[in-house]
Amino acid sequence: MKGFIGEFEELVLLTIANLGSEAYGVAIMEDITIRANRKLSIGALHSTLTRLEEKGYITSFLGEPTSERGGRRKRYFELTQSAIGELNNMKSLRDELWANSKINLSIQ
Amino acid sequence: MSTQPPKLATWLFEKLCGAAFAEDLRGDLDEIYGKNIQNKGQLKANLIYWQHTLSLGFSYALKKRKQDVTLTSYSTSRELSMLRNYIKISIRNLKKQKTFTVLNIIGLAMGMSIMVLCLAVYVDLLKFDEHHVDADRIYRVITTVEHDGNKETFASSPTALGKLAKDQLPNLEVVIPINDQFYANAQTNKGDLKFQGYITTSEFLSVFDFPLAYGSKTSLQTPNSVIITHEFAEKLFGTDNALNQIITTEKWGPLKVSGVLAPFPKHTHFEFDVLAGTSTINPSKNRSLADQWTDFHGNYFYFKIAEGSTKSQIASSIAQLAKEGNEYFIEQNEKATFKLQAIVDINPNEDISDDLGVVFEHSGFLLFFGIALLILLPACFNYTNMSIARALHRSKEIGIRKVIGSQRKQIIEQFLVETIIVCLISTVLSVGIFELIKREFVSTLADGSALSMDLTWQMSIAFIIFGVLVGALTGIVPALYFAKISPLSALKNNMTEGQVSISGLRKGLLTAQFSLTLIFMIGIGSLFQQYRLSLTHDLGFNKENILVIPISNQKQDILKNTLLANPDVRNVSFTNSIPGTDISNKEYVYFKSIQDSMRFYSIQTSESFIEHMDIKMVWGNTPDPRNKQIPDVVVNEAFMKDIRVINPDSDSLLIQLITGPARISGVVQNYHHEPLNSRIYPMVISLSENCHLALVSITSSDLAQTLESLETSWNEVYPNEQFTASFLTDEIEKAYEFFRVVLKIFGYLAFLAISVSCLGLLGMVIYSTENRTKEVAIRKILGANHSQLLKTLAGMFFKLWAIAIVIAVPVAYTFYDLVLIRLFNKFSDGIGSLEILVSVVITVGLGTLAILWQTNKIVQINPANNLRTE
Repeated sequence: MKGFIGEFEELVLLTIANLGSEAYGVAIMEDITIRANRKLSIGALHSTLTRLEEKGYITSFLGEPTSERGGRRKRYFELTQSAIGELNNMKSLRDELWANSKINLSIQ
Repeated sequence: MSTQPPKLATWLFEKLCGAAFAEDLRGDLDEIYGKNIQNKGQLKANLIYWQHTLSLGFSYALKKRKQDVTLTSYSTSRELSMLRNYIKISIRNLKKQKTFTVLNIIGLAMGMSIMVLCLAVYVDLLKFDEHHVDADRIYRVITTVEHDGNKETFASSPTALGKLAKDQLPNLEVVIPINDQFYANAQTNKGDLKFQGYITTSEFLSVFDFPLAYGSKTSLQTPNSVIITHEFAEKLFGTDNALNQIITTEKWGPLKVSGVLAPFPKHTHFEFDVLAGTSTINPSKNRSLADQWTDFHGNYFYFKIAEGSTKSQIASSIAQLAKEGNEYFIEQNEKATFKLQAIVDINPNEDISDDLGVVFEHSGFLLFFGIALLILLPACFNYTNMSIARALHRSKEIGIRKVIGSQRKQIIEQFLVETIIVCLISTVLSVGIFELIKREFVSTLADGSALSMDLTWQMSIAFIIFGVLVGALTGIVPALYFAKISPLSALKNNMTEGQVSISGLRKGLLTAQFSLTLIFMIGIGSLFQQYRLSLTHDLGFNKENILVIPISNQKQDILKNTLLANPDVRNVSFTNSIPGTDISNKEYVYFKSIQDSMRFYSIQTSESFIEHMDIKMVWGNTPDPRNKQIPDVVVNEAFMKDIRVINPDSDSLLIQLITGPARISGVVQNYHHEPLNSRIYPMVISLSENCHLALVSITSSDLAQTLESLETSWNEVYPNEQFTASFLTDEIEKAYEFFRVVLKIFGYLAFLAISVSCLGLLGMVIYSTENRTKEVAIRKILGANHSQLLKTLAGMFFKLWAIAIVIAVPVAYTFYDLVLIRLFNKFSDGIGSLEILVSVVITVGLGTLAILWQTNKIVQINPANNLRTE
């Protein structure tokens, strides 16, 4: 089935891809806040991350302790192969829809 | 990083996290806080921190992590083996405490039996009328009439509306008008047989699933032909193949049987013996259009909607058609609205007037359910009470479980499973009880014959769900109680403190239960006494040593003379209605001058009836058979009283009956011609030569011989007819069948109530004595004697009984005296103290037996045995 993941989930996955090896909670949140210009709470973000992990789209590991967080470790996220596949599915679905559009979608 | 985030928020987050891993989450929170404090200032940073903390604290992320922590000991895949473990341990526990298990199971089974009955009836009703083909497309129109702000809903609807719908609505596949006024007496050689029928069209049989055994559906179109049910055919003709037989009725003339229905399953609200076509009688013939709209009593309008049409479409078209009738309703100062009711929704139904056939109403159910609950709740309460009382014996088990790592949830589950097992066993037992009593019960219900009460799979599922539900509700209190026990105190055996005495709440519940039992027992006592009194009540006529003999119409004079020649016979008279039983014949007397009529009960007798029965005349003479032109009648005092209220033509003794004018020749003292549950209504005794009952007074030393000689005399007059005789007193007793039904129901309820409460009591006594064996032993060694020991052990229970008596007796007295017994005996002197006393003594006696049986056992034990183990 194409398009199994939600819009926000897709956004989170792509953000993780953009951040590369620096993808952890606060970084993802800030990136989305700035780039997509939308407010979100850390709770909502972590819930989505947990769900993505359950679905097998991301994996996570704990980093080294850092002093800026009072010695607490960060949890980093990485995309799995199935996430990459799913993102491609989404993209091709969208491309297809764009290409076949009966009206002109380009902005004048 | 000198400033710390708000302490309270941090503390709250830690609490919310519990054992879950949240280092990374807290790190994220702190990082955001650190950034905000530099950019936005402390106040704003604190606010944002709070916001994030709360969003994270109640987020799915944290919930999931917490679940992961708790599930480390056992995962969902092991849920089933855990359940198996629960069941195994439960069964072991139940086996270990056999007495309690048996007491609990029997108590619960009894308590559940009435509820099972209630459920069975309900499940049965849900199936009503589902067997018709396309039952989901069959509806009827129900009418709500508003008059002076009072609304009343009728199951019937105007015939005019039915006609309009049939002609103008194409999306009605079939329209079936039904009129239920087709009743009459069929004349047979064994007397009249009442029947009830519908006037309808042949479509009735094609829409509703009543298959024909003989004949054809379309025969209803032929005038004066009828289709009868299998049962009625057998009753009337002795065979079900009654095709082309003639039913003779006075009201509708001869009717030819043109079809016989095959026996059809119960589970339908239709109730009829005979179906007649509209060609035989047209109910709307000779009726004005206004009447066809507003006087719709007894006319029903069923239809099947075409496939693809919806209920709301039809409803709006019918509302449109109904506008034509508005003017007629407005003339009567009424406003009518129409609704559709699906045929499957007819049973059970809300209260609705002018119902067709068998309808069980919600309100009646609610009462039934309430009574069932009154019996069930004490049983559940007893279980809870006994289980908690057993805490002492189970506390160690729970302590060890907890120490090993059992969680609160698991302890709760363990106890719930245990209770549910007990309840399921009880359900099986109560279904057994149900099977035993269901026939009896159904026969006491009006319209009960429509219920099949067969144990179907739907019913079984309902019972199992019910059992599990009762188990869960009953078990939750002890389960929570046990889950709360601290493992330390449990293992140190500190449980004894505060546990030996029964808490106030439990005492209260026990008292309530005793009171309830007493109320039921006093009920059965007083009803029984009223029943006895009813049978010995002075009815105002002589009922001793009188035989009732059914006779045919011919040769009555000869029979009378022949019987009187017998030395044992003192007097003979004839009647159409046995005195002391119900009168079926109601008539109206019409007063032309004031355009009013009065209802009265009419009986026909021979001339000597009044004298023979010793009925006292207060004025005038017995009717004279020689007055043929205007026949004499005798009326009772109630008749004179009512006629005076109406006040027709001043002093005339001439009255206008249906049969013609009559002259009142005398007035008899009010006597109870009907059973005592009926008031004395106006009554007219008229003379008739066609009575079908002979009343024969006998004086006899040897009854068998007298009867034999009577039969010999009988055979002289009627050589071909069977002689049957019964005593008048027996016939009167038969008329009190309704009373025996109530007695039976009450007796059963009282039996259940007292059994349940005695079992509960026994459980509590066992518990409290077991906990005090050592105390009893020490008391005994110190010199206490038996009666003193019994007093210490059982005293509390007797105190509770005393309180219960103080509560129950006034309540029961008021209720029964003011309400209940008046329903069954309008002439009662009220409840005497004797029956209350007897009921209380019996109840307390049974309770005492339960108490003493157990306490005595403890007291008898050699104290050395009890103390040695320590």
